[in-house]
Order: sequence, then C-alpha cells, then structure tokens
Amino acid sequence: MRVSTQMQFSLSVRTVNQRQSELLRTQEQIATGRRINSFAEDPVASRKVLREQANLRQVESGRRTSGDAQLLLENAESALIGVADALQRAYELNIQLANDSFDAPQRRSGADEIRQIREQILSLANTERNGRYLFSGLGNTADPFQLDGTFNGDAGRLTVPVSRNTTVDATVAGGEPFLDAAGGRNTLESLAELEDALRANDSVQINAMIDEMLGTLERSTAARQQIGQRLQRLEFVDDVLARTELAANATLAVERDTDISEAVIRLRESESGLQAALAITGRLDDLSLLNFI
Amino acid sequence: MVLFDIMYLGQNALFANQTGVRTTSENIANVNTPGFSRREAVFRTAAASSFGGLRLGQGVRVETTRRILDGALNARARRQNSIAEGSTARANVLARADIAFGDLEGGGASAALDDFFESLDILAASPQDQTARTNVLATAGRLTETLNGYGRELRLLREELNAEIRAEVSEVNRLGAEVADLNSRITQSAQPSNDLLDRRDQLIAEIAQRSGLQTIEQDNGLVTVVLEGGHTLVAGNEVQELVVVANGPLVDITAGDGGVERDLTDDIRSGSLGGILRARDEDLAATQTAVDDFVTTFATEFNARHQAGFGLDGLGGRDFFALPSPGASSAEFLRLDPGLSNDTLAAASDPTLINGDNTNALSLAALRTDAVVSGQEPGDALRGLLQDFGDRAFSSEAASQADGFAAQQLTELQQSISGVSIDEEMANLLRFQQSFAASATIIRTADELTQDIIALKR
Repeated sequence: MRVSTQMQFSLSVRTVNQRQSELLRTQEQIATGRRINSFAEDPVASRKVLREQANLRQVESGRRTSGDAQLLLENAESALIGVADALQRAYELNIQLANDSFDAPQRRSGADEIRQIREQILSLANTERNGRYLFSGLGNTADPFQLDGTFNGDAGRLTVPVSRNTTVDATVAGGEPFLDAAGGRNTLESLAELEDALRANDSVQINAMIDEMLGTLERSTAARQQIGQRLQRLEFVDDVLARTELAANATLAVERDTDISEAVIRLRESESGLQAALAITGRLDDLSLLNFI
Repeated sequence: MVLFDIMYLGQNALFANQTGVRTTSENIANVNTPGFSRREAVFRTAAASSFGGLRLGQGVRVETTRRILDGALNARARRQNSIAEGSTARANVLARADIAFGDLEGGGASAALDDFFESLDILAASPQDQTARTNVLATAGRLTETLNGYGRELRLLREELNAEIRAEVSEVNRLGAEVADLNSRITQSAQPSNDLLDRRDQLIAEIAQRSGLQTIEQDNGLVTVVLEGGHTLVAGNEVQELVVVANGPLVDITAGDGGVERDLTDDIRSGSLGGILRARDEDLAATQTAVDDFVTTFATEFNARHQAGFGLDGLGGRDFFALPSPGASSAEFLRLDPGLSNDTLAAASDPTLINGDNTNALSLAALRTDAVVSGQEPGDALRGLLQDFGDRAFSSEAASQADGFAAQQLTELQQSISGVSIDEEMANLLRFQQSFAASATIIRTADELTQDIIALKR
C-alpha cells in the first residue's frame, strides 16, 4: 500500500491520543477506587450497583426500625417482670389471708397492701416509651387503664417493617397481659375485688379469689414469654440484615470498585504503549528521504 | 532544419520537466491541505514530423495535470464519514445527559427513593412521633426535587440542541450555496480546474459531515447534491436551502422542494445533524417518556394508598403527591400536595386510632417491594429506565468508536491513493530536476552544433 505523509502522522497522532485516553481512564479508576463512575460506562453493572445500594439502605432502615421495636419489647418485658413480682406477692397474700386464723384488722392491712399493688400494676400497665403506651394497642391517646380496671385501649398491636417483606410485632395486643381472654375480670378488677373481699373480711370470697389471682399471674407470664419470642425473632432479623449487608458489599466490590492490581498492570501497559507511540512519532523525522539528499 | 528542431524539442522537454517540478512543488505545498488530491502531470510524446523521409518524434507534450483519485472510494468514504459523524454527535449529546443522571454515588433518584422509603419505615415504627412525620415530608420533598431535576434536564438537553441544529443547518446552506457557485464556475471553464474540483469535493464532504447525502455527477461537470430523505440541496447553480421552523419549544427542519414544503426532521439520520436529531427525537424522547410514565404510575399508586388512610386530624381521602395536568411532564412538575402536612400525613387506617395506628404507614412503606410500576418494584423500575438510558449512551459511544474506525480506514485508503507523500515527491523532484538539466543540455548541444555550422562559413 502506498503511504502518504499525512497517513504516517495521523496514525501517530491517533495512537498517541488513544493511549493517552486509556492512561487517563486507568488513572481515574485507580485514584477514585471506582471502576465505573456513571451509567454510560457500564449500564448493567451500574444498575446492579444502585440495586445493592438500595439493599444497603434497606438494611440500614431495618436496623433502625428493629432497634425501635427492640426498645419497645424490652421495656414491655421489664414492665411485665414488675407485674409478675407484684402479682406473685398478691397471690401469696391471698393464700395467706384466706386462712381463718386472720382477723378483720389483719385482713384490712392486707387490703391496704393489695391497694398499693393495684396502683403499682396500674402504673406499669400504663408504661410509656418514645411517646407510646406499651399496652394500649394501636390507639395511643390516653392512659389505657384506670385504677378500677376500665380499659380504654384497643386490641391492635404495632407491627414494624424490619427487612425486605418482613415485619415484626413491636407490642403485644392492647391490654393482653391484663385482660381475661374468657371475658371475666381483668387483672386490676380482680385485685379490686380481692381488696374489697379483704376489707369486708369475706372469707368465702377471699378463698374464691385464689384461683382467679393465679390466673392473672399466669396471663402476665404468658405475655412475657410472647415478648421473649419476639425479641429472639429480632435477633434472627439482625442476622438476616448482616448477611444481606455482606452480600451487597461483596457485589458492590465486584461491580463498582477498581481491581487495583489489575488496574496497575493495565496502567503499565498503557504507559509502555504510549512510550512506543511517542518514540515512533519521533523516528518519523529520521525516516524521510530529505535526510539523504 | 533538424538542428532547430532539436532546439525546439529541447525547449518542449524543458517546459515539460518544468511542469513536472511545478506539479511536484504544488503537491509538496499542499501536503497538509484537507481535501487536496495529489496531481500528476500527464506527458505524452508529441506528434512526429517528417525529415527527409524520416518520421522523427517532436519530444514531449504536457497534456494536462490530473488529480489522482478514486471517485467510488471517495463516495464510500464520504458515506461512512456521515455515519461516523452522526454516531459521534449522538454520543456527545448522550454523554451530556449521562452527567445529569448517571450518578452512582447517592445523588440520584434511586438514592432519593431509598431515603423516602426509609423514612416511611421509620414512620411505621413510630407513627406517634412528629419527627418521623417531618422526616417523611422532607425526604418526599427531596425525591420530588430530584425527579423534577430529571424532567427539567431532559427538556433542557433537548431544547439546547435548537441552537446546534440552527448552526448546522446554516452551515449546510452556506456550503450548499458555495457548491452551487462552484458548479457554475466549473461549467464555464473549458479545461476543468483541479483546484475548483478539489474545492467542490471538499465542500460536499463537509456537507456530508452534517447530513448523509448522495451526489449525481452530470456529463457537463455539474454535481447534484441530494440529502438523506430525498431533498435536493444543490441542483446546478441553484441551492434549495433548509429552513429551521419552531415546533413548540423544539425546532424542525423543512425545505421547499420544487414548491412543495416537506419535513426533513425524521429523514436526516446521519451526519452530525442526523446524530443530534436522533439523540433528541429517539433517545432523549424515549427516556423522557419513561421517566414521566414512572412518575405518573408511582405517584398515582402512592396517592391511592395515601387516600385510604387518615391523618392526625381524623380525616382521610387526601392525596400525597400533586401530579400536573395531563400534557405537562409529570417528572418535571411533580409536587407534594399543597395541603400536605404532619397532620394530614395518613399513617392510620382506623380514624378512631389516629395517634397510634401505623397500618396505613405500613401499606405506604410496603410499596417499596410491591411490583406496581410495570410489574416491577418502584426502585427496580426506576433503575431499569436509568439502565435503558445508560444502554443508549453506552452503545452510542461504542458505535461512535466503531463507525469512526471504519471511516478512518476508508480515509486512509483514500489517502493512500490521493494523499501526498513527501518522499515520493522528493524523488519526483530529483527526477524532474535531472531531466530538466538534461533538457537544458539538449539546447546547449543544439546551440553548439549550430555554432559549428556557422563557423564553417569563416
């Protein structure tokens, strides 16, 4: 093929340009640590990168909401421990004072202690955390319980999204640890009844209350177990979140981040390519007929 | 008299070799001129004449200086150049758009959507919390602003091309007028001037860089230039100019072809004008439609869910997003509903439990993983349309390189035939120089012989 002067030079210029742009791109990849910086460079990988970033954001928001749920559940758990202790004491008092060897004044002082237990349980049943009543159900406007046992709450429970398509109950159903499933007296009403019976020195009614008091204790324990199970479930959710995070970061590293050792080798190649292209351009001058005539 | 004839022959040779040196010098001078085809002096033996019954040659004649080129190859290179220029112009426009949406580091709509859904998760976890509500409104505001930015950028990118289209069209018209002018000058001169022919070829090549075209060469030397889509730009010494007309905020290209107005906007698809039009009317238009459709579907679905819930004021049935009236770009003009506030944000499904109920917030947050936008989760749909755009930008860049390489190869082939080689010209220069010296020697020898004859007389 006949070679014109312009061909020689334009080839050199083109090669040098090409090598320089390769070099610049590799430099950029090494300096930023990113293999791709925009959609046009690799659309498929870019989409994966954004997808994994979305997954990471979901992990982040899951950690936050599951933290909120955990706080509510732990507070409910410790409230129910207090409730169980108090009900245990009420149950023991009930059994003790059912014995007819106790006279009316002794039973009256027992009634006073039951009164205190009622107030203690009322305050625990109305516990509030983060502006939310733990045992009021979904509605959250006023104290769910009153001392006489009136319940203002509802049967709902707060369900919180914690990871992809997964939700966790952050509360038990409203009033559940205190309400009788069979529709009988709730814990506060039972305690009021016991207090009245003690004050009235009504041996028959005092004796009759023993089973009911055991029932209130069991209800609170059952609710506590339920909460324990939910806390366990949250730990499991944390594991899932950690695994998602690990997988997302691994994909990001592959799709987005520069493989430094590969990039450095490429940098060397581009460098020597550029050197060769420059050297050839310099030689063109020597290879002219002008140098021989 | 043979002796005088020798002198005459020497003079012819002197002139011919001078022309050789002259042509070579012209080639050397134009080594870097774009569109220059190297010249060659065409020599032929001069007609013989009779001397004493002998037929003796009269030496050399310079018939013409001709351009060395391959017309078919030139047409092919020109066509490929149109394609390459088109691909490059398209890739350049899309590269600008890529800067506007290609963000992979958290500044884009995908990240804004993630923020928004995260704030809804937090609202679902603490519906009673005022800061959770404020946060939802803030992230929703950022999401709408990011989407507005996409809509605005796409519109502006398309509108900003108006100026480029006008500039390219006026350049095509100017070049066309010059070709028409050259057409008339070329037909006027008896001996075709190589310079005018080169110049006309170069002008046509420059038009071809802007729009694909075909040329028809007539016997009388006139060239007709027909643009892609069939509009005759140059016929003889007449140019039929392209006209830029406004079409809404954009511009179209029309031309009056023999009195019939025709729209060329969809016809020109190669050359830089074609590349710009393709990027504007195919790539960016498709992306704009996809973004608008996404916003409409997403906001409508979100509104439907929001309407089902109740705010802190116990009222329901209200929108969250305000979509513009049909016809306006939903991406650019998406707003939050003007009445939206912490109190009207509908987290509750039960109007009697407004302060603590998160059921509707859960339904809003669940939109993140519900396949409601063309059968995809909203985030996937959004990333999908970004990828579609990225595919266009990526393939346009790849096409620009491949087409550019093919054009380069053809240009090289063209150069290989028509390009000036300094080495070759130097060799020619030496050859003509030596022949010139030899021709001079012929004249001197003839002179000496004449002197000898004159000396006989003394």
